[in-house]
Amino acid sequence: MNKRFDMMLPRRRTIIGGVALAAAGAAAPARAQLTIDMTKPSFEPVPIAIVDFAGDKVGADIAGVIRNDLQSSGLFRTIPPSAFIQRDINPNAPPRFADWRGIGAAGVVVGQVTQAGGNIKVDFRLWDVVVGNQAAGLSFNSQPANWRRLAHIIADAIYKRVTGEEGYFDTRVAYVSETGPLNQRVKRIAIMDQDGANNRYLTDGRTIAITPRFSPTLQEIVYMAYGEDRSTPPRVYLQNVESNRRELLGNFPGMSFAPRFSPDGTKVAMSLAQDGRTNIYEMDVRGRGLRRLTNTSAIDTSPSYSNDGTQIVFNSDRGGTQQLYIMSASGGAEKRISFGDGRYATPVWSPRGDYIAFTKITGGSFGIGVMRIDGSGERLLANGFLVEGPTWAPNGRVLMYFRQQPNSGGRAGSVTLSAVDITGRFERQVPTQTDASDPAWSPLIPQ
Amino acid sequence: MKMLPSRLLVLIALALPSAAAAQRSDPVYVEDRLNQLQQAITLLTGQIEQLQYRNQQLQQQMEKMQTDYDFRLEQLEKGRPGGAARPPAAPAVPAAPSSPPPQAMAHPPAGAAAAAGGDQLYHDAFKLLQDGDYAGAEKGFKAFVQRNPQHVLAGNAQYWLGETYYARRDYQNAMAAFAEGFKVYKASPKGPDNLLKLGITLAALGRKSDACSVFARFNQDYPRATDLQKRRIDQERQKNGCG
Repeated sequence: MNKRFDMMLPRRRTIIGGVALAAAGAAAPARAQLTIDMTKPSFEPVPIAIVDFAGDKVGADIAGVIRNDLQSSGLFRTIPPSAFIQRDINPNAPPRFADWRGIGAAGVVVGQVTQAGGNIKVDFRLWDVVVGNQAAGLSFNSQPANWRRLAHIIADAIYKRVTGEEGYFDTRVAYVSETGPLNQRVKRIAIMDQDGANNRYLTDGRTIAITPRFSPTLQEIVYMAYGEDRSTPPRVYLQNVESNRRELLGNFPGMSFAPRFSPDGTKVAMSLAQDGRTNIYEMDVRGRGLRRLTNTSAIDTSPSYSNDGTQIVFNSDRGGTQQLYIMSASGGAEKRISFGDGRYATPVWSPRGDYIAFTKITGGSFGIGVMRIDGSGERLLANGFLVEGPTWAPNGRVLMYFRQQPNSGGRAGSVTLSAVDITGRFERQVPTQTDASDPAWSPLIPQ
Repeated sequence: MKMLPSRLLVLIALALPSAAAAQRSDPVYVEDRLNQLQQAITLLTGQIEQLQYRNQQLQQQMEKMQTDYDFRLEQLEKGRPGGAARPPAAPAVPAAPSSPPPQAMAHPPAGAAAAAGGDQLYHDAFKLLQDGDYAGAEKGFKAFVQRNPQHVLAGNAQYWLGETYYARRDYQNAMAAFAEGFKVYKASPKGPDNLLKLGITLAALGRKSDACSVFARFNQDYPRATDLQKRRIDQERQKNGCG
């Protein structure tokens, strides 16, 4: 049962245990209102109570992070601690179920933090109040500094137990931080936890840097940055997230942009502009070999690999307007899939493989939408003055993108990150320290 | 009015060669032409993509409609007339069992190609059958088969002849008619229904083992029968306790 977790940060082991806790109560499998089917046309969020973890003052912080994660998904309604009836809860024994039924909770999360030789050990149990037994329980060891990650991992476990889907809280978001006046905008690549914590900047802002994209291990990002002087065109860079060491990904005479990693991390697809034509190329990250994938005299860009790495979706204006196309990852077999009104841009293949998300421009308005990979079943999930650049949560059930509001003069105003679930029911703003655009949602942080 | 344009044409024709030659060597002209071609290709690419998509949509619609039509026609042809889809217990209620419902006239379109005289006889007999005049219909179908044994509708007429007896619970004659139909018009469009009805009639006569052997050969003789017909055979086999 003792699962070893590899760490995400190099040379430092962060989380060193994930042990299932034996059920402390009755043994029958729990199932009732502590489950939710998010694909149903309508549902009520699951009411859940998260008790401050016992044993250490960080316990209250952990509970706070879990509450915030679950509430942000739109699938849970966290009951405020002030409403709790049972105050003397023992983290190792069943709660008084009647007390929790009394405040309408379907589930109760309890836990405790113990010091263990410089590390902290965090246990949690999820009690099914409706059935009256333990629905989940795990134990983790980690350095004290990693308490937020532990909280996210516990929130993921609860999410998975209740929805049946993988969680996405133990993830990061890379984005473009925007500061300064609109005509002299400073655009830096930043990286933060999915909930906005632990924000830091990866580029210094001396030149504009945009379109950050994660490698599957989260160790590197690729992005496009402008040159320090005007004679160098914008190019694609590869940067290590920990050491901040960066290198040019291919030295081309023209502009290179819109990079994205293949799912196995061995390749980067990107656009190269040459002689007024823009085609998609694939670069082998290790050997730096370059291979052309499309050959048009139009503009082919925004490549995104399918989850299995065998296909690429991209957009092209070869037919007069920007539309979405699918091709083999080695080039060829190109097929247009978008046929609705308007233009389509920035396609991204879902990590589950079932949908392609995109930005749609119809008339003067923008929308974030999804379609099946054959182009059928198109749905818009969000729209506005400007919404653009969707990115998938690793479970393929939530999209993040950026939204710009018009200012008082009706022109482009502040830019923020937003997230919406793929039913389009629950949209929320993602907190950032500065104006933010073009997010990239990481895979789950390797444990 | 008519003269002027033709004169102009001549002038242009005379002026053209030298002007065109000069233009063709001009790089600006070449680039302009290339741009025009590029735009034309882009336009055409977009149009081809749209047409391919539209074509694919239409094809899918057609296939869907085709399946729908096939299903409906089958229901009309096989299910309703002649009581082929009715259980054999039905004859207990006289008149009702085998009279084809008014909408259920399954005249095969091939009839139009046949001699007009024969057609009329067939249609008259069918009308009588619909009206419940089984004796009249019997005469009509019998005459039609005798006079036009090679007619495309001869197999149908033989089948309906059997039905005129069956409807009157004259199972002996019905059996003879259906047996004749199976022997002579096995490949007729009514062949599967005819064999099914032969079995049902045999069962009605109490000859269950004969009925079972008729049902047993159905799939072999009519591998392309409709699902509905195959289901009916299975039902009858069960009902009669065929092994």
